[in-house]
Amino acid sequence: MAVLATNSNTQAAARRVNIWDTPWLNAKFVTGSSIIVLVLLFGLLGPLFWNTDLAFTASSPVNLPPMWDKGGSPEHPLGTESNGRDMLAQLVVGIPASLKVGLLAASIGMGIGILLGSLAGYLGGWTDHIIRTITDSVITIPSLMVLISIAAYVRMPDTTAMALILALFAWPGPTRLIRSQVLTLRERGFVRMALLSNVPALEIMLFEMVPNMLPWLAASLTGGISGAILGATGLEALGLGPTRVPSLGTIINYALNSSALVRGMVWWWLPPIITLVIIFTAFFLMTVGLDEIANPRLRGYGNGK
Amino acid sequence: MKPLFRLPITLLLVASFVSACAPQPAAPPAATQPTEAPKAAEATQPAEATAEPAAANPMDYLNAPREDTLIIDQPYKLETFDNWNPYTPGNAFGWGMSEIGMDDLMYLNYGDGKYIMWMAEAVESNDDATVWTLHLRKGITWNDGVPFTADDIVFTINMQIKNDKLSNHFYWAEWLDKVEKVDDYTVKYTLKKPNVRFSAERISGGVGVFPDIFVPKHIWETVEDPTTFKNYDPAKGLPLGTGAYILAKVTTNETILVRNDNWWGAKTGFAKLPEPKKVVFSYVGTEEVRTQTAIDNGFDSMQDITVGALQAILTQNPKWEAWFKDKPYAVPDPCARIISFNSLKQPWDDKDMRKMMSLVMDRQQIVDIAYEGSTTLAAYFWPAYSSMKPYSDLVDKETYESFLQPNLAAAEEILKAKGYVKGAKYWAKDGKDLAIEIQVPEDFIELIRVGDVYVEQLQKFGINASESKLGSVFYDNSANGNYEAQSNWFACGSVNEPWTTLNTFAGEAAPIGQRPKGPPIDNAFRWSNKQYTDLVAQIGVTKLDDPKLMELTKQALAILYDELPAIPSAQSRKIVPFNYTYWTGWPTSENYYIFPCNWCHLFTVAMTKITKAQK
Amino acid sequence: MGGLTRSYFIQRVLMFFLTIWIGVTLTFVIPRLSGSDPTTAMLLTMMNQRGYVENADKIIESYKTSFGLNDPLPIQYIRYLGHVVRFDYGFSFARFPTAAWDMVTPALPWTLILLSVAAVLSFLIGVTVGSLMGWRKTPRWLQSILPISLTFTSIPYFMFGILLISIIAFKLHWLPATGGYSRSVDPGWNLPFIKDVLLHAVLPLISIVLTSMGGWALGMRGLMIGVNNEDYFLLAQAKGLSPARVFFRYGIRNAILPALTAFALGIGSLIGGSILVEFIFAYPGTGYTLYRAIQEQDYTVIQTITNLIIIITAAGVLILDLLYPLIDPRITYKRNVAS
Repeated sequence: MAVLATNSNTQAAARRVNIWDTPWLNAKFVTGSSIIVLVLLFGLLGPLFWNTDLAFTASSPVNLPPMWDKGGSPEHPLGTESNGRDMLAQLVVGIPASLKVGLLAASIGMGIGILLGSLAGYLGGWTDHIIRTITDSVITIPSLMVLISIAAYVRMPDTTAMALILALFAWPGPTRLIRSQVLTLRERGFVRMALLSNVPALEIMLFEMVPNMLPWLAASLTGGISGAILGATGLEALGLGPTRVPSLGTIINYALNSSALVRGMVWWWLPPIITLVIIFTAFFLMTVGLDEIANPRLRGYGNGK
Repeated sequence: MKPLFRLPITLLLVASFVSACAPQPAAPPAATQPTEAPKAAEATQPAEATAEPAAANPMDYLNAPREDTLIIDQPYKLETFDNWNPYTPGNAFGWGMSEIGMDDLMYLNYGDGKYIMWMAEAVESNDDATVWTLHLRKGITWNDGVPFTADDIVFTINMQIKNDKLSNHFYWAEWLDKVEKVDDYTVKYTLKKPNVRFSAERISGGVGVFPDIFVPKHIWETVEDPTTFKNYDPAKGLPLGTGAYILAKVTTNETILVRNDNWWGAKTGFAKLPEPKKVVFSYVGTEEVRTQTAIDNGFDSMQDITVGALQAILTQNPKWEAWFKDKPYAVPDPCARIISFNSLKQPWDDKDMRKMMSLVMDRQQIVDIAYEGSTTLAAYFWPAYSSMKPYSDLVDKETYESFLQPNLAAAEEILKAKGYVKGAKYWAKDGKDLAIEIQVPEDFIELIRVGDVYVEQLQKFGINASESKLGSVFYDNSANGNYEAQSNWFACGSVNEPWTTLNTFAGEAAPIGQRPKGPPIDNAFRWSNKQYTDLVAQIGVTKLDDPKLMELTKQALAILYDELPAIPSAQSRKIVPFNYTYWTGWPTSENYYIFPCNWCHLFTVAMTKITKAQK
Repeated sequence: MGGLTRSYFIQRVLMFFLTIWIGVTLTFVIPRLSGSDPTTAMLLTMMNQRGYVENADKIIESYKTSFGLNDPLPIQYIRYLGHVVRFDYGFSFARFPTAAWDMVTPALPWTLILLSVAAVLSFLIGVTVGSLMGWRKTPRWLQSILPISLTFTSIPYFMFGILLISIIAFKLHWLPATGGYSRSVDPGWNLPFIKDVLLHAVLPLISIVLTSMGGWALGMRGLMIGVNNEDYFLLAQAKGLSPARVFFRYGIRNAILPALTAFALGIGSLIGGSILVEFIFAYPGTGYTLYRAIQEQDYTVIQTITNLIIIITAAGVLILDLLYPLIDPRITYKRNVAS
């Protein structure tokens, strides 16, 4: 099996003659990342075209429908909500804020997970025991309880604090699964072969194991990002987020608090949800694409071949 | 999320409700009738407790049809379904018993400031307000037929004096020398020191204090430990009250009370027997669900909802009506909203800085945005009730009007005089931006929205204001002085006299990190002013009809509005709409016979007034 | 098969207790970090019911003393460990005089039944969807439809719950909106009650399953893709076995092990996450009780529920760890321990 895996890698490398033939041009990956880039651009360039001060309370008239509805105004194309905030401005400010939380929390979690997971799985022995015990203990504690307790008492000026709180619970999952992945890989032919030929541990980890775990790592990271975004949105929607600067979750929180649903203020609660679905879908496409890039043989599957 | 866990709503109103997961029905053990519409009327049921010759077994009313049923919205879940001991912290009494299962001695109508005598016929005091005498109506009975007498009152009070874990213990310990039965219908209270508001505080339970709930001596005298007694056994008729309704069934999210046709009030001809045969106190979930249930006529009366929810209800079911038919819709809550400053923290120890904060506040914008127009513009520390008007008018007119609109120029003058310089964004002194953190309770949406608007006003003006939403640590911070500013209601208390609110600012400032020692326990503001405290002490012993009261109050108010340990932010409001599909005669702004509060003891009065809607 | 040795077994069991001890200790520490006083919340409930409480500081002291909150932390901790062993934490702080355990027991069956059904359903559906997505032979139309089912995952739990309630319960009137059962039925082993309970459980169930299955599906998809490349899988295909047989015998069966681990680990967060669902649906389970307890700093109730979750999760992990070497011959723990 080891031979097979190595073979396929060399084949992939050999095929990469034409630069346009690079596997990174995978359609799903490109689509997914383009959406994320577009969403990011919306947030980054938005402030150039739209006054973000309108995202703050009492900056606009209250309860205006979007401009295409009766009573709407081009001054506030997506309408305003009950606290006098412009919806477009809120999205411009809120989307990057939510993405930032996801990226930060997932990256920290993943980083710690890779480090601890491979240490535990590869070194074994006492290192393994200690890491596992800590990981297991943290996993068994219902994270929502801790998150709620912390979020209710930590003062949150911005989303960074929220990301760090989420990161507290973002690492044990990856740690445990990477460890078990490493354990499985250790027993594989090519790793054993490397072990037998006295290749240094770090090298084995980096060059033999990590590439083999790549699809899983990538999927886990993108999954982690959307997970963290959802986690943050959930806490914020409960009213546990930062107060002044909007994020997708705080928009939902205010919408729920003001009965936007029964009031028929669709322009208030729907945009953050659509945005979440788009972000989630984009990360999903990226995950699928990444898998195919790392696993050349997957390329084209699902295309009916 | 809606009022997920709004702990304290107002110190005052809000009765209990704290939620619970009580899957087991409180229903009598025999209640396993497999029918959709249960014939709950097993003859062997709790109600035999009502040994009186009942016209009907009250339990029959469990099957009452919708048009004979009154359904009241509860915003919280019932958590301790089996604790009906009214003197413990986590009881279920607010699920019907304190509203319609009990009677008070008398009720205060905030509309005209007058008392409605109920179980009491009269209350009087001697000249120095140290001895109070209570005269009871004749013919009052517990729902098991045993007469309610002075014995029950004396027993209830003595039980609390003996036990320091019962909630009113320290009140009685502080004030009461002894309580005696003169005869079955007369009780004499001898106080340790004069208290002109004793009747308001303990006999009627104005606002700020709930009256005692009396317990039946013949049941409780055999109870070993009243702090852990649960008072719940429907088969034995517990909890036992004097009210027109009896607790019949408890489910996980609801309590059901049925009418006692032998209620003493109707039998003595003192009040009309309420018309609803069955009353359900029902929790259905978040505000979205409550609102939709109301639109579907699943409720007859709702407990404080948001303006948005009200508008949804009014447009989708024309049978609902709020206190006012149009804006502001809401009835003012007795607790005015304030921003309180910590007078021990720099730079807020300077009264000019606090004044500056008030000059920046645009109160009309708070009304328009934070309240969406559901309250009125006023700048008092107490509610703008007509019963408070004589005292409200004592605030210097010019001073008062300066609170009604912001004055940024004057605020800038103050800052400049204090050595602040306006930088690119914020005012700064010694290279430090002027900043303030305003704490709000995370579950109290109304106050959060006030904070939101105020923070933006301050930011625009050039003060780096921020808002922190905190859990129950909010209240610890308040008690221990760990805050710069809070959006709260801690000056609450007065509804028909000035002392209670004024007293919240009186006394010594406890050092930061320590709870203020009572009494007076309040002064969370860490503000102390000897002259003011002396004035309030005098007001405290001046009777309401003494002309001196006005002069003293005027002086105290002058100090308060000059020093501003807190600034009024808004008049609070409660949106409590009623459904006219099945029942009419609800209290409204035009028919103000009682404060429209379905979670207060006062609701007993409303129950006797509502009538079946004509089809 | 020889992976399970005695020393391995003892080690696992020791680790199980160690894990619980650490978890239980964290449950002791975390609520105390906030610096908020549990008796404050109690006093507030009291004030809500009884109004202005004179000399509040004295009442607070009186209760603090009887709850032992004035004792030094180490003593409180030792007493707490005693409670853990007996699984009795005494009175609820915020709801005195109700025992913490009495706050939880009535709610427990509701939560356990709803959640175990929801967890199993969501896992089964998620794993099936994920495997199909990760399997090369899945028809193309299915490949493009399946991901749509995952988008539910991106809608916050409660938002989704509220949408379900407003459409299915209020617009269409198909199912009851919230609660555990209707006021007209009498709890017990009777048909109308059981039917009513089941009807009330449908919406919460749908909402948990739809919003949580995406997680399992994504994980399983990744695992299945891995299996796609394994020699035995390719061999099975080459042998010309029927696709269904290859899919189940060689695909799912091999990919599911790590997914099962994830499942065991996910139990805790599932119970935690159900808080929100129970809240939205006014469901009479423990989730809401826990939420409330956290808000009110009700240490004993928090501890009762949290420690229960910790023990259940840790037990799940232990069982899985013990079974793992028996099921997956590729792993031998002896070797691992030795190195």
